[in-house]
Amino acid sequence: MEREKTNLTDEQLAMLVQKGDKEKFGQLIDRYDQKLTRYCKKFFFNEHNIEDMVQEVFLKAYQNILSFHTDQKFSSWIYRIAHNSFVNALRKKLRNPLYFFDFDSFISHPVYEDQTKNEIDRKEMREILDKGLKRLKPSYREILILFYVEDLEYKEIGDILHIPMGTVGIRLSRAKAQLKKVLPTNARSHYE
Amino acid sequence: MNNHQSQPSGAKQSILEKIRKGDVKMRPKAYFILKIILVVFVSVCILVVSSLLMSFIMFSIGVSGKLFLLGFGWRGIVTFFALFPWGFSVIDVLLLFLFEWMLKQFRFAYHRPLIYMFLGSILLSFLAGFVINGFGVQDALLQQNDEHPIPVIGSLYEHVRMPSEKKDVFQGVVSSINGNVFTIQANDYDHDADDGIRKVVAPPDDQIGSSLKVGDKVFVAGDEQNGTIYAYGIKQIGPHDGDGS
Repeated sequence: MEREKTNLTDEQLAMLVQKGDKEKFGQLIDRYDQKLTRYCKKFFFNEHNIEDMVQEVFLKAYQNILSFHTDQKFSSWIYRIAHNSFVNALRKKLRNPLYFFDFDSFISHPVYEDQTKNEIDRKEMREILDKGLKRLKPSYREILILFYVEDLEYKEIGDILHIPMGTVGIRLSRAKAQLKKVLPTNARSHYE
Repeated sequence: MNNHQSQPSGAKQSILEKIRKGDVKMRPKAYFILKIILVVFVSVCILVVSSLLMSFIMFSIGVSGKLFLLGFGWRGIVTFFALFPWGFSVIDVLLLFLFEWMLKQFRFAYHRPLIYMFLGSILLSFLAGFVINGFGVQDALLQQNDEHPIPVIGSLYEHVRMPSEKKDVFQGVVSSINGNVFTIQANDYDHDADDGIRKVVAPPDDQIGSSLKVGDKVFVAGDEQNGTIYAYGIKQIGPHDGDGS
């Protein structure tokens, strides 16, 4: 029975929660707590109470669970809730209308996949990211985290950030270029 | 993708405890359905207002005669763009941006660059405006306003027929003709002292100037010097053009 429970997909668990099985939500927390905590830490650099932020995400997810359609990916859905929560928290802190108008999602861009597909390259990239993430603006920081740290595909990132796939590619490319500029000199040689 | 590692249970238990106690409840399905209905309703309203505004813009440039400027060469084109109702157009564009923002939460909207949807909504608004004008809605509103001023929007219709004499654009009825010089009884629809006879000198190569008859309604673009208009463009307009009737 225990084995059967853990073999359920996220979407199947969400469906059971929707039907009233509150305890199944605990399994979803188990699966996403570490990921969302990591995402939050990278986004805020420990400047916020990470545990409270992540708790808030899960509580919002539970509140809105009936809006989740099981033909969607649960991971994209919960990351979207996390993204909205983090952006709102950042807006309150900075008192800036972040992401108000995104010119990149207004115009068309061709979709070209990032070439860092090799696992070693990605691992190196993750190490480099920590050295420069803090100096990047939130939109660039976030896309690097979602692609290199959370290991998500363009399509999923598009669903989380509500932007076209072409914009994911162009923003990722710009984020990498910006990261290269802000990296300390000794780290740049690794990046190149 | 499914992470089966066990996590520190403190936070998890705190969340589950809040759920069990009822401190956090699931929002009912009806909430999300109503939210979608509201978004769709507001979006449709925005599109309707945008279409009405677009129809008014098209109507106003027709009924004031500004559209004729496009046939008066390069100078006419420049004057047309100077007189174009940019204020209303900017409001219309902002409405369409709002329309896009309302729909951005849906996958069909954010999956493609917004420019496509934006251009599509402009086209839709334009076509709807065209259809509205085709049914004579704006003509009827103009006539209605002449008889009984319409609250709020009445002032828009009051000024819509006025030619822009400050930009050297005039409207009137031909009262006499002498070669390439004719006079018009100018009417800027403001019922004041500057309504009166104006002398117009047609351009030497202008065909229309020589085909005019007394009683014709005309639209004239030109420089006014000492009460005489030296025209660079003349358009004869029938009884159903230029006054909305």
